[in-house]
This record gives sequence, structure tokens and C-alpha cells, in this order.
Amino acid sequence: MSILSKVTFGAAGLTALGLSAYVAAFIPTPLSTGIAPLSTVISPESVTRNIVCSGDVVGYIGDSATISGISPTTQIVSGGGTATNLTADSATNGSAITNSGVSLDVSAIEFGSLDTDAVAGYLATECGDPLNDQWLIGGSTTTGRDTIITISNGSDVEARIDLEIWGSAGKVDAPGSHGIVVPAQSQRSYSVAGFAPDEGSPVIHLVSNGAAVWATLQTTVVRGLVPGGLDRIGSVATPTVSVSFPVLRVPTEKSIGKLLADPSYADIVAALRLLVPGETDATITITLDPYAEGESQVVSASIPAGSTLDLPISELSAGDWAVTIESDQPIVAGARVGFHDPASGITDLAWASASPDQTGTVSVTVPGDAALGLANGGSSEVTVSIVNNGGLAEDVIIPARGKLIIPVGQGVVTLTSNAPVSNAVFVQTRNGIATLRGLTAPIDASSVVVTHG
Amino acid sequence: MIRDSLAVVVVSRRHPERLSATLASLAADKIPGTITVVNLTETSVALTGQTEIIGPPTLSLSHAVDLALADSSSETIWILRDDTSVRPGAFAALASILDTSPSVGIVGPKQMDAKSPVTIREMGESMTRSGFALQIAERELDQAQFDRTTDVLAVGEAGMLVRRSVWTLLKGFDPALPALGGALDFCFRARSAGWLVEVVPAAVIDTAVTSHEAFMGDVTETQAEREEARARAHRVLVYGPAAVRPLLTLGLTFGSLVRGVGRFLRKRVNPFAEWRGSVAGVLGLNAIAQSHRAYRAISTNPVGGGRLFVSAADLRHRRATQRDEEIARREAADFTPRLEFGAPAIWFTGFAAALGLVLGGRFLGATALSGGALIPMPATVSESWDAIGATWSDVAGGIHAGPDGFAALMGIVSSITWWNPNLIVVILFTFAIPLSFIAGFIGAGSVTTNSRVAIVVGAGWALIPTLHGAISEGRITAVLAHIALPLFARAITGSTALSLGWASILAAFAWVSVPALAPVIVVAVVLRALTGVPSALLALTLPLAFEWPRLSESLANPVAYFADRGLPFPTVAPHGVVSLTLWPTLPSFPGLDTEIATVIAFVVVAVCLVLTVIAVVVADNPRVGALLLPAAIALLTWAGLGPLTLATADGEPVGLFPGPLFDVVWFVLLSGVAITVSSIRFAAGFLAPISVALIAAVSLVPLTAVATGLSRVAPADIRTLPAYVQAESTAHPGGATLILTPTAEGIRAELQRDAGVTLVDWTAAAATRQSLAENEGAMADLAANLIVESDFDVAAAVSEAGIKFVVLEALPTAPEVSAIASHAGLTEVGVTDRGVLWRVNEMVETTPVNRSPDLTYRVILGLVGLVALIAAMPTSLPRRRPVVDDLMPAAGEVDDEHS
Repeated sequence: MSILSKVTFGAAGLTALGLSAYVAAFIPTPLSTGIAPLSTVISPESVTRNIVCSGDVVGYIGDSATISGISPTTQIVSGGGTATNLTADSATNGSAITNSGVSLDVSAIEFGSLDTDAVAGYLATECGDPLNDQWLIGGSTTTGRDTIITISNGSDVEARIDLEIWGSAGKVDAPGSHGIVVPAQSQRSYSVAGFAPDEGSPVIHLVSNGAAVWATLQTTVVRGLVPGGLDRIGSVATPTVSVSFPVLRVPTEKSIGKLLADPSYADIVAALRLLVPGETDATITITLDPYAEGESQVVSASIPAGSTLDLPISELSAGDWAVTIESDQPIVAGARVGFHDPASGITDLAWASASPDQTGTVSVTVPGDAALGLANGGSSEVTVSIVNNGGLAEDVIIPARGKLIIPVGQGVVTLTSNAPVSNAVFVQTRNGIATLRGLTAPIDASSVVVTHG
Repeated sequence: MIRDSLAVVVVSRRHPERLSATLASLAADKIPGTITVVNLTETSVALTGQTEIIGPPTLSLSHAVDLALADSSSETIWILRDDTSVRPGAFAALASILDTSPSVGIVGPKQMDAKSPVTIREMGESMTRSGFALQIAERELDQAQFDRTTDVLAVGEAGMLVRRSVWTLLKGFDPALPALGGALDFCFRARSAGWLVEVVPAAVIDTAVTSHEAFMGDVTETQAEREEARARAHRVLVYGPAAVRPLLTLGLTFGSLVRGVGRFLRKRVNPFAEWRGSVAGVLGLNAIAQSHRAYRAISTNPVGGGRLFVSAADLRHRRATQRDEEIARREAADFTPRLEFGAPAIWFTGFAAALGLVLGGRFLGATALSGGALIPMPATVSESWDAIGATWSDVAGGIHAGPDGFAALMGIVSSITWWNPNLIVVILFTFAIPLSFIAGFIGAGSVTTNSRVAIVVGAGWALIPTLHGAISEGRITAVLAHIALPLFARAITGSTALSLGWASILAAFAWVSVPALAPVIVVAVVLRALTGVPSALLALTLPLAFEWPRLSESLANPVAYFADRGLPFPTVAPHGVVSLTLWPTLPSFPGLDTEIATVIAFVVVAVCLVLTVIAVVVADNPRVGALLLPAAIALLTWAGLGPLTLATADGEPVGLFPGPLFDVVWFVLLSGVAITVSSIRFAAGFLAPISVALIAAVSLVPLTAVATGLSRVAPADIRTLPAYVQAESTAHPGGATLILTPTAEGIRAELQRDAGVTLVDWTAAAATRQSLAENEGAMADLAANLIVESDFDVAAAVSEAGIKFVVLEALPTAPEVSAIASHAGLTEVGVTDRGVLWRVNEMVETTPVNRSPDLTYRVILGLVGLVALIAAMPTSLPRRRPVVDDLMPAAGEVDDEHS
């Protein structure tokens, strides 16, 4: 091979390589395949959605050691009807509600107020979809405080329940908390004090093997001989790194200020209860964002893993606030606010469960005049279409990391969002306060995206 | 006295120009008797007073003699041909034997080669007991070494002196053997009739051609072999008892067929010539019967003396000598220097194996590997074989499509570890480093014969990120291609049938595993065909035999053909400028940002490119220059296909894994680096290890991925479905399992039949489907309805789909669990290693799917594969003679290995 042809060979090869490198780097491919990921959107036929309500206000009648209903609650159901009344120990209490139309439209709440020697206050809670794994944050089992866990199984199979209870000193070794059987279409109530006595800040993790169940906590407060506080707390499905309480109403200094001098009224101060269920301590950032004019407050804190922490937020001015917590570890959290009416002397408190971020259609039933808070934790704006009591749809836009509060009246409010948004309703009556959430189905049953493996 | 009544017959057929010399030699020796020339030449011949008889050119020697003797009454016949010349005293010596020994019927002279008067051409004939004719002395320098031999089985026709009575009794030569073996048969019959046959060493004649050539003119080796086989078959059947003739016939044809196959395997020209001759011989039934009757009629004294036959030991000795001659001849012709896998290479392979064991030790002892793009192979080799030519795949709820080349390849490859088909995958992944070193080293032989250069290329090849990216993502196709590519480069540069066979096998490995390499392979083969080896195009036959159904199916959407084979698995390959770092992922080095890592990777590629340019231009290695073209094609292929979605998996788009394409470029760069670095005479000693260390440092993250647990691949169970399902499917095959996996958007549904989907089930047709397969719609419907509480009739839907089990890949507390449990017709079995398992209550009638393989595909693949395999089978031992391998095929590349 001559020198010339060798050089030609090399030069040709190098030129070809250079050209192809240029093409690979800068020229878009002219080819196409028409292959795209395959997924199918299926609308399941005649979907049934069962949500479960806890029923009556429960407690001890007289000196009885068993828990039973002491006062009925009012139930408002929209988009469905009662399918089954659940059997409690001695009578029926609680019910399973099945949708009559579109599964996402069924929603129900129960509310009630009581003013007896033993219990005084107001409660209102959503009825929810049964879960196999849920967290309940709130209540106390110290002197004068009682907290009752009510587990409702609306399904046709029995549930075996394991409870894990955390307190301020760590996980509580609770005898009898495992293997609790809740038969099909039944309800069982237990005093949390039985598992964790004298615990100021319990958090309960409920795992059901078998049927999914709906669990609520009912907490009551008696200070000395004066009852003052009733609430029912709905459950949270899973620990998350972002927790939202879209609306909490901080009472005025004028209404509760005088009480605060009494240490037994310490639990009407607004507070957050936090638990890191994992192994690693969490660093959290709490953002307190007022709906009224004013700067939002940001607090950072380090939360030790494995024990509950009650964090009072006493410096807030009166009014409605949106609270969000961002964490570097999955956490569960609840929020508490107090209420006192100096005129009637009624004292109450409300525990708010974290509102999950939900997309699509959410129905929330409102017991009376209330404030609906919506929070967008995402980084882009969300459009929410709101229909109140079958009225005209009203579209609102919630900016990124923004919030919105709107007054709503009794009845059903249907929210349809195009991105994750969390909601909560704050109800304030003469008899006390309560918060509740609109919860969508754990699985969006209206259209299921099936990807093909 | 013989002299008194002698007829000398000279048959002139093809060498009339020599006839005058023959006649002159007769005259010079004063041969008595009448000399008759039988002229079969159709031309006039110059005679000096001899009788001339003219006959047709096709007349056999025997008939020519008969023609000459028609009017003669002489007692003795001396048969000569026009190419024989008689040395003085030859006739006297022959005649004296007949004169003195009445029992001797035929005598023959020592035949010398006319062109080389000291070489014996023939001196008596014999045969083995099985009928193979042999010369007692053949092409040997005459040192009187055979002169003690007189009593022989037969003598050749040229110079044969025969008594007239014998000739008449035996009616001359057998007319069935006109060309070859006539004399042997004639002498054999003479002996059977009680006469002796002797060769007379003192009688010497010169012959120019063999008796076969004298009859036929120039004959090829094949023709000679065929004629010899025909004569042998005739002999064996004539002399043997008639009763066992069918048996003998069978033995002859079968024996020659077996030998033919042997020659075929050794890649001889016309391997089946002997078989064709034997068949022609055994089919001459009339001739055999006639000859047999004639033989029986005269046979009074059957030839029994073993001494006359060639013994088995002698035969072995002769064959060994023949083989030695052949090897010597071939070695003398083989002077091309080539890269030898010598001691340093073996040492480095050892180092590579040790490194592989350290880095891939996690895989040792695993029964199967799984993760990333890798799922286990079937549990038994017969299931693997079922994939060869399979037209049904269980993937995507069942899909009918043409056979898939990769599935067939894996089916074949898994036979290597037939007791556990997964083991070959484990071996491949554990020993990928040493295998790549060997492949890189041998592949470097395509550009160099310097073993230092080859070691640098091999080490680089075993360490580069394209290989380790592929290993940690479980891309078995890319690993196979990585090992096959350099070997293919080496094979395609050869020109023998052996290298062509290997080129075709290796091309098939690379192409079938990574179809995107097809353009590169085609260009390399065409380049080779244009540069002097047109038969290189045959290297494409095996890949095409693997892929023709897939190729014809891809005509509708040709680009989709190039999708990676096996389980589709999304890539994280960079595109555009960053892809020129030639990393299959974003470059990463420990402790550095991606941006800095990318810059470093660019610098590495740039340095390699500069060194390659030096190798091409300055070090003047045109082969590296030629390799640049396939590298350019590889980059172009990447430019065309890289950004596309070629397949889908789990609702995600799957693009091309660029590793194998970048491999092609890397091979050129590594070769260039190695050649340039090794040419720097004073510094090669330390620059070579430094460059290898640099490559290792640059690819540290992917290199250690398996050891540090970053790899997606991990030892796994062969079983992919819960044991309960496995047990049930063994007892009652045909049932399907619906596997549901909750996703962020909804649910992933997959239907697996029997014991589950394996690597060979993933055909390209399934991975590149553009729309839902036949059963997927119904499956999606079922899946969506199962995970919500509804009045959906689950029992009817599952029995229609043949589903016996439902697995939810989620914790038992997932919301889907209670939804699935709410449907009638399912019973929860429990929590398994794969998730929550339900059994369908009703007995599900399963209609077996048509799994019959494509037989045409199997036959074509089998035949082409067999031919390639035979071509690739080495037929000679390694060279015994040292060759100066340091003679560069390309000048300018300096070897200081031995300096």
C-alpha cells in the first residue's frame, strides 16, 4: 500500500468519524418510530364506594366500664345512603354509607354538641374510606382527659387490628394492643388510656390485617368538675414529608386570655403534635400563614425520631391561619386549637388531622356555616372548580404555595382540581368548634390508568 | 521361450507425441516379436514399420489389446502404452521370469516417472482387505528399497507381460473397469485362477502418466477419487459372496458417507466425491453380476494370503505419513505473522479474572441473576430451546409474532450450561471482565501483531464504562455484543473459511443481541468484501438466518427493528453533545459534579482521539484508518436512533442503550491509543500501564457498581412467581397469573402464564408493539375493576382470560388489598415474596395456546448454523514452526517487545 493511499485511508476515516460526531451532537434525527408508552384509561363499571361513619358520641354511662353511645350525632349524607348500621358491643353505632351515583360524589359528616356534667363541646368529623393502615394524632389520657378510639368495620370480613402507640417518651408498650378483632359490620371502641395511661400526647398507628377499617379518636376534657372540650379526630393514611392544615382559627385574646392563667387550660392553646415514626431525626420547617393581612411566620425545628412532641404555637394573632410543615423525613402531625365563649362559658377544642393533597373530584359536606380553606403546596398554580350545594361552578385559582379561604354554608361542596390541593373546613358554633376534611377515595375509581407490563 | 511367440501391443491414445520414443526404446532393446500399435488417437501416428490398427478413442485398453491380438497366435502379450518407454534389459528381465517360472502368469516392471527417472511411479499394486487399492511403492526415490519384493498381488497395466492363456481365460480386463483398477482386478482374478503375479525390479520402464490419465487425459483429484471409489465398490461386490452383497452395498455407501462427512468437517474440496463414486459403483448391478459370474467361473484358488494385502498397521503408517506431508505443506504456505495468545496474555487474563472475581464476587454462586434489563432464563434447557423459533410469547398477555433471533440465540447459548440455563448468564456477568480482556486482546489482532498493544487494548476493553454500565443495568445484550465485537473485528480481517465461519457466528451474536449494530456489521463486511475477500459477504448469512422473520416483520416500521433485544428497560443515556463523551450514562466520577465529570470524560475522549490520529497518520496504521469507518457508522446510527422511543415497558418509553455503538468507537480509540503509546520506544514501558490505569480510574464508578451495590443486577431466584403458583402451574399447566402493581397514576397490569415470563419470552415484537396486544384490553379492564370495589363480575372475567391467580405487588395494608378482597370469586392465599396472592375459586378451564415453533425457521437456522459452525471448526493444530510474528502487516508500527 502506497504512502498516499494510506494517508487517504486515514484521512477518509477521520473525516467520516468527525462528520458522524457532528451529526450525533447537533443534527436532530429525521427518523421516527411511532412507538409510545402504552396505557389504558379504564372507567370501572358500577363502582361501589363505602365510607364509614363512627356514629354517636361515645362514653361511659354512669359507672359502667363499657363504652357506649351517650348522645347521637347528626349525620348529613350526600350522594349515597346508609347501607349498613354497624353492631357495637350492646347496640348499633356507626354506619357504612354506599354511593348512589358517581363514587367520588358520596360524602358524609356527622356532628353534634353536648353539654352535660361529663362532656361539653362540639364535634364534627368527616366519614371516611376504610384503610388498612392509618394514623390517629390527637387527644390525651392525662387526668380529666379521655380519649376513645373507635374502629368501624363496614365490610363483610373481619379485621384484625394491631395498634402501635407513641407517646412523648417514645413508643408505648401497650398490652392488648395487638390482635384486636373487629367482626364484619361491627364497631369497637376502646379507651386509649387502657393502652397508654397518663399520656399527654399520644399518636396511634393502626394496622388492619384483613378488612380495611375507619378509625376515629374522640377526645373529651374535664377540668376539675367542669367539662370543656369535645372533638373527634379522623385518621391520616400515611406519614408524609409535607403536612398541611389549610385552615385553623386562633381565638381572640379577649375570649381565652383570662383562662390561660389557669394551667389546666393549657390545652386550649394552639399546638402542633408531631411524630417521626422512622429511625432518623427530622428537621422540619413550619410555615404559619395568616389569611388576614400580615407576614407569614416560618419556624424551623429538629424533631427527635420515635417520640411525640407537642409544639405550642401561642404567639399567633387571632384569625384564620394556614399551617404547613415541610420535613426531610416522613412525619405525621396534628394541630389543635381552643375555643372559649365568655358569654356562655363554653370551652371547647378542635383537633385537625392533616389534609392530604388530592387531585380531581373531592366532595366535602359542611355541617353549617363554616370556612373552607384550600392550600396548594405545589410549585405551580392550581385551578379549583367549586360547586356549593349544586349551585353554579365557581373557578378559583390558587397560586403556587398559596392558599384560599371561602365561606360555605350547610350542604355539600364539590371541589374539582387539576393538581394536588388540600382542603379543610373550620366550623365554629355557639357550642364549640370543629374541623373536618373532604376526603376522596384512596383509589380514584372513576378512571383507572392501567399501564401494561 | 517367451521371445519366440511374443506380441507387443502399444496402445496409443493420448500421447502420440511420445509414441516414437516408445517405439525407439523397443527398437533399441531389440524386442523380438510383432509390435502392434493400436491407434486410438484419431490422428495418424508416425510408425517405423509396425502394424497399425486403428480403433475408436473410447476403446478400453483391454479391448485394444484384444483387437491387436485378433490375428495373432503369439503365446505372450506385452502391454505398453504410448507414454511408456522401455529401458534396456527390461523385457529380458520380465521374460526370464516367465520362462523360468511356469506358475507365474503375469509379470510387471518397475515403473519410473518419465519426468524424474530416479522416482518410482509404481511397482506392484496391492489393496487392503476392505478393497482400497494402494501402490506398494508410490512416488519414492528409488534406492532399491523395494527390490526384494517380487511376489505381489498385482502389477500395473503399463509394461505388463502376460501369458496369452491367462489373458484368454480371464477374457482380458473387466469391461466394467475401463479407466481405473482394471489391472488390479485382472491380476487378482489371475491369482484366483491359480497363477502367480510378480513384479520384476530389474525390469524398468518409464511412464509419463498414470493408467487413469492415460485413459481419461488430465483428471482432477476429485475425478480420480470418485473413479477409485467406484472401482473399489465394484471390486468389493464382485469378490464378495453374492449373499452378503446388500450388506456390503450398505457398508460401502455408509462408510464412504461417514468419511465424506469427515472430509466435509475438515473443509476439504469435494468431500463427497468418494461417496458419489461408491454409489455409482454399487448401482452398476448388471456389471457386478456379470463380473461376479466371470470371477466365480475361473476362481479355483481364492486369494487368501494376508501377506499380499496391505496390513492395517501399514495403512496407518501410510496415512500418518500423508497427514504429515499435508501439514508440512500447509505450514510452509502459512507465513503471515499474527498475534499469538502468548504467556503475557495468559497472565493478564488471570489478572482480569481475579479483578472480575473481586468486583463481581456478589454474583458467584447465584442460581440466577435479575434486575434492570435482566430477568431469569427458564429453569430447564428444554424450555430455553422452546424459544428457538417460537411464534408465541407470553408477554403482553400473549402475542403471536415471527420468531425472535435473540430468544433463539439465548436458547442455543443456554445449552452450554444445560443443567441450569441461568448459569451461563451468571458466568457471563461474573466473568465479563476476563472475557472482555480476552476478546479485546484477540480483537486487537485485527490491527496489530504486537502483544503489548493488544494487552493495552484488552485491558481497556475490560474496563471501559460501556461494559460496566451494561453490567450494572443488567443489559445482557450489550455485554454479549461487547465480547463479540472485537472478536468479530479480528475474524472479519481474515480470509480463510475458518475466520469466515467465526465472523459469521460473531456477527450473529452482536447483531442479534443489539440490532442497532447491524449497520456497523454490514459496513464492516462490505468493506472487507471490497478489499479483497468477496466471500466475506457470507458472514451475513448467519445473522440473517437468525433475523429474517423479524426483518420481514419490521418492513412496516423499519426503525423499530433496531430496538434493543431482551427485556425493554429505560435508558439514562445522554443525547446531543454530551453523548460524545461515549458514556452510556451521564459521566460520573467519585466526589465530582456531573458537569466536571462530563468535562473530564470529554478530555479523555479528545486525548484518545488525538492518539488515534497519530496512530493513523504518523504511526501509519491503515487498518485503524479502515476501522474508523465502522466507528463513524456507529455514531451515525446513534445520531439517528438515540433520541427515539424504540420500545415501551411499564408505560415508559425505552430508547436505545448506546453502549454497543460507543463500543465500536471505543475499540478504534483504544487501538489508536495502544499503538501510539507502544510506538514511543523509550516510554512504552510505563506509558502503557499508565494509560490502562487512567482508563480504570475514569470508569471507576461503573466499574465498582456491582461491588458497591449500586448495580441493579442482583442474585435472584429462578422462580419469578410465588412458589404456590409455581406448584399449581406444574400440576396444571396453562393457567395465567395477573400481576398488579400500584403506580403513581394507577395500576400496572401484567399477565404471566405458567411459571412466569422469562428472558427468552421477551421478543422484539412484544417490546416494540405500537398498540395493545390481543388480550391486553380485557386485561386492563379486569385490572382496573379489580382494584376498586365494584359490582364487576370478576369470576367471569378471570375465567375468560384463563387467570388462576392474582398477585398484588404491594404491602398487605395497601388500599388495593381490601378492594380486591371485596370481589366475590377470589380467595386470599396470603402474603408471598412477590406480594399478596389470591386464588380464583372456580376451576378455570384453560385453552392451551398454540406454541408450536416455526419449523422453517428452525431448519434454516439449523442448516446455516451448522455450516457456519463447521467452517469455524479449527482443522489444524496450532503452528509448530515459530513464525517471526513481529513482521508488521503494516509497516511503521514498531514492536519493541523483543528488542
